[in-house]
Amino acid sequence: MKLRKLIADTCEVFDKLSIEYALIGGYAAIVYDSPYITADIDFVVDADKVTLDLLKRLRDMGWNPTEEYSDAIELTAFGQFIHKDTGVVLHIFGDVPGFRIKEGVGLNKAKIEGYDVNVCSPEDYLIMRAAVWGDEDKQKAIVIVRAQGKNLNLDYLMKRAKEEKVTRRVKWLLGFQKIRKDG
Amino acid sequence: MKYNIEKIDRKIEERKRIPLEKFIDVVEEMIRFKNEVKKIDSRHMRGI
Repeated sequence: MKLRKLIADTCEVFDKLSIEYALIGGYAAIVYDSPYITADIDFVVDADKVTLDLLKRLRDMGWNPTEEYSDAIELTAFGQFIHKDTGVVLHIFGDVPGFRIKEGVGLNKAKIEGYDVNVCSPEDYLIMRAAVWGDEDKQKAIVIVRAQGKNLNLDYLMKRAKEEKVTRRVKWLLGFQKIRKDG
Repeated sequence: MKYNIEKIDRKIEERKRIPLEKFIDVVEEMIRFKNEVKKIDSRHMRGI
């Protein structure tokens, strides 16, 4: 199965089960023009909506869990799967540092294999990197700041930074923002 | 830590020339290649 179809079909499973979700991590960065390659597909889901039906549906798609998940809490604490044909790794989280599905958090759509995939905003991607803030997180956040330039919604970014208590880190990141000369 | 902004910008510009779905195909090829290398390494470790 093609990777892009795998991503789209996985999102379709979330939608069919009415589980709100967002693509985060390296694949979200790719949507926002990151040149870095990643093997892991990471999703944050609305943990309250997850049942073990999700596990069954993912298994049916060829996603083999690396642990036996006996309930939805275990699954959303850290759900890890490896795809039987492609060897691609899937992670499902109920939340990660700096991000969870909640009111006021904006999601974007990206068309992958003809399917509208929910993706965290580039601003929330930066917040997540700022919340962890290792050397790799700084580097990856700078890439998105450079790639997105003036496209970043600074009001939303600073609102979210305040909520997640990473304002200083985000201000530091914005020092790398590329401002287009043409306005 | 010093960040090589010129290099980052160059890579972003190259990336922007590739449509999203095409880039995901590139990622897929890289994953396949890495997995093949892992398989070969594992066979060597077992002396096959």
